[in-house]
Amino acid sequence: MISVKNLEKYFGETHVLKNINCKVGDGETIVIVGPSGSGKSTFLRCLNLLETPSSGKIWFDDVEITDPSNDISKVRQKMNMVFQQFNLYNNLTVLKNITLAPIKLKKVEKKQAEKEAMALLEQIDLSDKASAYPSQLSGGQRQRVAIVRSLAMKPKVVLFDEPTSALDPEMTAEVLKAMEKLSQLGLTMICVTHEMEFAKKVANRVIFMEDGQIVEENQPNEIFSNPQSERLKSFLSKIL
Amino acid sequence: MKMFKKNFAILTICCVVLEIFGFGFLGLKARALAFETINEGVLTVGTEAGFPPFEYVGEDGNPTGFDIEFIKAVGEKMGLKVEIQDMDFNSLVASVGTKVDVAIAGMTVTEERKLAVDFSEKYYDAEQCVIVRENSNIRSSSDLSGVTIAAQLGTTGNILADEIVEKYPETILRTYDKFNNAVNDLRAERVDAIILDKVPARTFEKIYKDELKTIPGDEFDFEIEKYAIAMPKNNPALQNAINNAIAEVKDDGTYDKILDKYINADISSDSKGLWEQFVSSFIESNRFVLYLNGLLVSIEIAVFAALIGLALGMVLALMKIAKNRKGKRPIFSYIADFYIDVIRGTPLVLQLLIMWFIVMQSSKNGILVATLTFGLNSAAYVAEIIRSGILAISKGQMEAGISMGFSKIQTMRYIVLPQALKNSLPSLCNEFISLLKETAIVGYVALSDLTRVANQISSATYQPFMPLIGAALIYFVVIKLLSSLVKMLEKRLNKYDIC
Repeated sequence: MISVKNLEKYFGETHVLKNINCKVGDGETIVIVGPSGSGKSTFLRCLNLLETPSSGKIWFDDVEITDPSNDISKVRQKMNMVFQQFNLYNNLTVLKNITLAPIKLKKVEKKQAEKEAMALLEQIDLSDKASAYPSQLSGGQRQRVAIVRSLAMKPKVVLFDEPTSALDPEMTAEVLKAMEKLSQLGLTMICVTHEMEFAKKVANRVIFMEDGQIVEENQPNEIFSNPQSERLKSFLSKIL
Repeated sequence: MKMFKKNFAILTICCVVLEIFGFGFLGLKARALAFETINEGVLTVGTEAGFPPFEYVGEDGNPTGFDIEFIKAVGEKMGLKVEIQDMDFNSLVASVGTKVDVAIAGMTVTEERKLAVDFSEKYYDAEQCVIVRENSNIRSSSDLSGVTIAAQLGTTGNILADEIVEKYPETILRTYDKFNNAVNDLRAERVDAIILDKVPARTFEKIYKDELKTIPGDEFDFEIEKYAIAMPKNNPALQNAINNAIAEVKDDGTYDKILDKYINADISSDSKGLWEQFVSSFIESNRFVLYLNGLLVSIEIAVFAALIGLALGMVLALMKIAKNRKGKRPIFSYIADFYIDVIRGTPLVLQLLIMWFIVMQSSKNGILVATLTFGLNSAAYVAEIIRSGILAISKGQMEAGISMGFSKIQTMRYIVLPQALKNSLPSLCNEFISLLKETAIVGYVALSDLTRVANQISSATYQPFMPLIGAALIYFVVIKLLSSLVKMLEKRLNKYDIC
């Protein structure tokens, strides 16, 4: 579904991503781990071109999205992102946060879009907050709304950029539960996180990044119980 | 969201309408060759109604006086309806031929003015004289050396005063827009002598009979001046028609009647108490209606200018923050920068005069010119307000929008701009409030806004205190009201503030 070839990214003089190559299959849940500053988030943000790669190519469903002649907006409709800071639209109610994109971009009838949105809110137990504004929600509630806002577009892939890093443990649990459910439903997910338990339990594959490179890539039990490289070993010894 | 949408629609319509009007007037009108007037059947006359008894604002709020009745009689002989436009004396000569057909304002024929306009036969012999305080030692020309003298800007007195300053370099000259202000400064000992026409000088002498005295001009070797009607250059047909009409008015006795009515009449000169001042400034001949009309003019200009400013300001703000694919600013972004710099770097009153006399020279609609000027000016300030409003919205809002598949423009429209406008609303309202105060300068383009009304009434009643304080109070009350509304609005908006 997604393939990345020879991806390089510089921020000015800093070499942030070094020759990244990677493939993601349909329905996979990929978790990217690694120390801070290793380039995980930048890599994720390159996938939907929030950051423009310095060189290299990225394909999504056989469309080369790094080719400027392809309309990235169309691709992003099928490849949403969930952010660390939630980034709900502050000027809109919860319901409108969810229905804005389907109505404006997919031309879904307003009634239909609202019905679907209410069903999604029901699943995350937030249907009573439909007319609330983001500022009236807790962090965990906001992140769950952000996730269903993304699902309302019926995307093929959702990119999660440290979705729980701004939350306290209790709220983290409720967000991770929602993500686990999505993974079981077969949504393709690429997730940057520090939640190792989540990686162990939910991921099909774990990618370990350090210093802008993919150091190791394997199934979670291999990564956590049988690390190959010294760098991964030392990383795991520090966090576990 | 819905509220914003509706407002945008109204605003867009208003702008379109105003622009159509504005640029419709931009085409220059061909100068009349034969005896033609700007408006057919109408003689449009420019004057400066602050020079009693020749011209001043009468009890009905319209200019009246010797010159006004005289030009009306002349117009009648020519078979034309006369329309009077009250404007700054400085603007008069420049307006002849474009904004008005002729100008009559106790204007002396000088060589300098003849370069710009032609004159009719003289209709009045005026003598310049000097008013001083009762206890002054000034008696002749040489006494003016080293003192502070005053004159109204652009008048014959101004020309004579310039000559005196040339002769006595240590003499200081102060010029005023209104004689009234000069006379008040004379009484306050800020100036020592005023050079002005004999008739208004006598009037002032009568009003302040124990304070001021008049010295005849021949003590200072001033020559007799001839008042005449100013008209466009090289228009013999109009000149002949006017000269013939002047002769008729003089022959049939109308001229003498007007002379008796205004020049030779006695003017009551009792000094008034505060209550009488209040009555004559506000109540007598329903003058309060004039203040209200003035206030309406101010508000009308401010409201429409604010709409133009908001629409154009938003466009400028978006132009300014625009970036192309490579993250660089496109050329039009620098054009917006330049526009904002120019507008913010030049005085508003000059922008108004440039619009009136140069850019929209052929327009006679002062409200339109003022509204456009203030709108174009306000846009620069609004642009900066909105720009900082947009920059204050976290980057995440834009990223959330585009990562959902919206284009940058859609994200701006649905998500960023509504938030930016909401945050900027208090500043935008404050911009409107200062706009309302800034309209006080529209007197330069012949509009009777609140400030000019106060000026006119203080000229007509010879009482500066009540009209000026009164106008200030009206401004204050209106603006206080507006700013309390803004405060309430702010409180309501903060209810859903972003954490």
